[in-house]
Amino acid sequence: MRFDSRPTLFAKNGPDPWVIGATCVLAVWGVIMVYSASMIVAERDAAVAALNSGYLKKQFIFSILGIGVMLAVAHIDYHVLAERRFAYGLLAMVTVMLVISQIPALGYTAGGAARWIRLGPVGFQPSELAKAAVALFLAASIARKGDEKMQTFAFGVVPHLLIPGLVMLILAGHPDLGSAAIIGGTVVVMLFVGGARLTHLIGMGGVLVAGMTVAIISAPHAMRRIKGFVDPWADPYGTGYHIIQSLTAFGSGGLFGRGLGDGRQKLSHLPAIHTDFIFSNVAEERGFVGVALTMALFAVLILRGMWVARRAPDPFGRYLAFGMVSLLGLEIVVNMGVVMALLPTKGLALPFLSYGGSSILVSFAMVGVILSVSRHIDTGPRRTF
Amino acid sequence: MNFDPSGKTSMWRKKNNRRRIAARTARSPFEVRTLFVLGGFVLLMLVLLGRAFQLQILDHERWTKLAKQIQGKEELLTLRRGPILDRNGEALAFSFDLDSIYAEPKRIEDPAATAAALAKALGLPEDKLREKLSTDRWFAWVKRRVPPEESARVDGLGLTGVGRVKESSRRYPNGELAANILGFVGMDAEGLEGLEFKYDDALRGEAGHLYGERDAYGNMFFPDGVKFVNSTMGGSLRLTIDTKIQYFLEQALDEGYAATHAKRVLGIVMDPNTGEILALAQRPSFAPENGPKAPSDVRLNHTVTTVFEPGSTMKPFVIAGALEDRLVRPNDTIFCENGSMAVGSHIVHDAHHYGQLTVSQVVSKSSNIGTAKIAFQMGGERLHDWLSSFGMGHRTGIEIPGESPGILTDAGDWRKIHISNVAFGQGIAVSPLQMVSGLSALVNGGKLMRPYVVAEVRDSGGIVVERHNPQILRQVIAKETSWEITKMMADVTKEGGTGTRAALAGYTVAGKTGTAQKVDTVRKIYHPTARIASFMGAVPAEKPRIASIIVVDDPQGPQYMKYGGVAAAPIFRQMASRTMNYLDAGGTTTGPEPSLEKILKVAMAERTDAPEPAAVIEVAPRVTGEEVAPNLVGLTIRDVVQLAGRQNLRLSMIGTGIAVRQEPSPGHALGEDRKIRVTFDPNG
Repeated sequence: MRFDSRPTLFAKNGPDPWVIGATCVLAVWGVIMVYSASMIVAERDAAVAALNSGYLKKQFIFSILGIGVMLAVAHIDYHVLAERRFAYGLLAMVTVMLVISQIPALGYTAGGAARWIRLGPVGFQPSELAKAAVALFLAASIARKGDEKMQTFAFGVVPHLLIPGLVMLILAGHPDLGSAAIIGGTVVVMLFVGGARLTHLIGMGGVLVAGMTVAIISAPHAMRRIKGFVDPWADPYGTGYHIIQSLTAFGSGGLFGRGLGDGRQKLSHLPAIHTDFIFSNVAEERGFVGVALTMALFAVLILRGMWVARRAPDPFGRYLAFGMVSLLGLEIVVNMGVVMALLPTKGLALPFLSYGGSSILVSFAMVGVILSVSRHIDTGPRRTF
Repeated sequence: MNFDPSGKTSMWRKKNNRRRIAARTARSPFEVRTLFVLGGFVLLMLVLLGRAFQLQILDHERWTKLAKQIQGKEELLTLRRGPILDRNGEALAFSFDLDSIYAEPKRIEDPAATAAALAKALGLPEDKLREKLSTDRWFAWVKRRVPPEESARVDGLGLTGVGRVKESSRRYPNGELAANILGFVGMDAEGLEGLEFKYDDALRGEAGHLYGERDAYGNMFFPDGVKFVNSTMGGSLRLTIDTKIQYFLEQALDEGYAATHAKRVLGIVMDPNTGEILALAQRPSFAPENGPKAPSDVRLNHTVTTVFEPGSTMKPFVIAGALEDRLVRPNDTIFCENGSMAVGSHIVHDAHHYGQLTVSQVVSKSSNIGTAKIAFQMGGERLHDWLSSFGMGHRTGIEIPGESPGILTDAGDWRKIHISNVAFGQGIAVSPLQMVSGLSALVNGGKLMRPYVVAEVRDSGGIVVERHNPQILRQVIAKETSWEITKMMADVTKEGGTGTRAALAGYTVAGKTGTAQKVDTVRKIYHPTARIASFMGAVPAEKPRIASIIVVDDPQGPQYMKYGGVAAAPIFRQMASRTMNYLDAGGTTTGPEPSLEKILKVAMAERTDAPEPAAVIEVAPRVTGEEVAPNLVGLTIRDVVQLAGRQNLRLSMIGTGIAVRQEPSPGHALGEDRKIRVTFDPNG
């Protein structure tokens, strides 16, 4: 078996059905929950009602588009991505976009952070793409360095700390500490599986934690969130508001939930319930059972993705698939931790479920990358993990 | 590094092969490390699942309760408070049902026509109503507690989307009568003052409500339709008050108030044998139905909350103590220094220049010098103990909220001039209630009875849940001493005494007049001309059926018109003569005899429940009303703010939700700044 310039022909299998299945079920679930979260039972306001059907339509369209993107990416040979013009070029492009989105004339702000960039009628959140770009960069770079170089500080750590660090700095300036933290986590996980020395990793982890601490302390916006996280009841209508409302959604959901569409926290008690807090709506309307099933779907996606990564035929494939999986896994865990008040940050979407075009498209594309790798794996009998 | 796909590929393959061989024997670092990451992910997911389990299953109820608070909103109906009855079952306060009209604007098809019809039927401005009905809301009040004829008119219209619900309205059939005892209720019939406040829990019943859901902006909606739960009837109170006697007292106070042009007149009538309050009133007063709008000074029950320097009415208590201690006998003579006596650097005066007076005459002629000399013989400590024993400086425990303990300073601080001052009732402050209960002990055979105004509390089913019986607090003086001092006080209203204007035809009145200098609260010195005139008396002296005190605060006119015997005694006489006629015609005053068991119980309780020490004051005693903090606990922020506004309180609020704590506590004195700190908690 060897790869040549038309590697798709040499693919061993079709894309992994488990990964596709879990993703598609999550996407359908996302459309349903976004519709439920954004519809108003009382239907008092025609304008709001129109807006809600708009949410539904958009989420539906983006999910369809996303599936298309996923399949398209799955179809290309992932080895192409190892080329510098992709791996490094994409990161460079995204970095430029991140900077541009901070220029008032070109970008626009939402929720106090400059996170959007406008391309004609389409708004785009470069931070979503930035995370994937960093993961791709890391996969390519680590594979290129090889096991021996990865053990050195100069080659194994420095570039992988500095380049993502620059992206993180820009994100922290937006301020989007959530995305910065996700990137930081991905860097640590990738270097860990990439074979970096544990001493280096611990030192680097220390630098990242210190950096995040400084960023949090220096940003009043982040500090408020930390305060609200530590004691939401100190200011239940201010810093603690989101957390209390989210926990109320969870707690009142009980075992089976209040029923699809019967959630009450979406009546503007919990703002952003259709975006970052969509999982709270799942919890309120579908209860613990819905929460557990949703988590199971995500677990299938992530664990199967890791399974794919571990069977990838080459280091780049391994690191690439693992990078995508780690990124998705981190986003899932962090988002769920936030809505259940185990983690302080917010502003992160739950992949596939949260309303938002950029997040959906990028998430699907990342699954597409995993699928692309899955087409080259050896599925023969072998120890699974 | 130059990128060469084919070379790279072959290198990868070699490595791959190596790894495959290695995999059979040992795991590669990549495999080991990915396993760690995988394990970490699984662990985190389990933590998250555990957290969801904790929130959704273990703490489900707690969060559901909070969710109800956040998402729900109750439209409360007014309470159906139970009645307050007098001792004979006559209603002093009761509730009756009226219809309240509401609309469901969402269901109204033609808001303009509906508004026009409703406006005509209810006498409301049509444009405002049309605006209200034209919205997309689920529920709106149109007019609450309308007269029956208006309700019938609305019913006759047969409008869709317009409904009626029964709400209660609190009525006080006798107008101002007993207003300061009863207190009043607020907008939703919640007790705000007086017994309505103190017994709110017993009287209020369960508030009816309409439960709706709301969004974060407070818009209500009703997924199950507009369905009211009606208020349930509360329990009732039976008082010791006799409406007739209350009426006689208030009538007498009215006339006295007009005649003396005083700042205020107060009166209490008590059954001296049982401690039952038969009547208690003040002028100026208010109509309970307009209670929330009455000035706070008028709403305050001054007979229990305000303390004043009593003046000479204090003397019988001193003399009774001296008799009991065998320091003097009734016929002992005392040289009264021809009207003036030096005490330290001060000079004590009598109104007239007396030489030798018997102890009886010291009382009947109200000699300051005679009383002072007896008090000196007694000494400060003993004087203090006697007054304390008669109840001065202690709250009586009456059910009316906001009672003041009065001011009886520690005898250790008394110099000689203080002893003489206290003996004739200056430099000590008492409430009218303390005086009348002390008087009862003087004339009833020496027993200090606990005054009470609530006889029974019944629940909504009519079952007695609390019964107050006469309680003997202690035997203060012996029966013989009581009889002796009563005889002396009977001389007060006879020819040659200071209280002849209180004398009644056909009855002997045992009484005592008092005229005290008012304290100028600003300058902390005694006012040169302002006086508090009082008269306390018991009828008939031989076996008293009523004991009463009348206090006239700052009567106007020439100086002699300000004497207790002139300003207060006639008010007493007028009240007492009508009351005695009424009682002789069959009115009852004596309640059930206390059982031996009860008396023993009280005696036991006394031993453990020692009276609290008297307040010690540094400056001249205050004679103004001491206002106390209302009970805010359990109220919402909105209600607290409303109530504070009505009572001119300065609020400082912490937190949100339901009031759980307040400083000062309910019933405790408000500071000069009228500041009150309230802590709220969303969980109540």
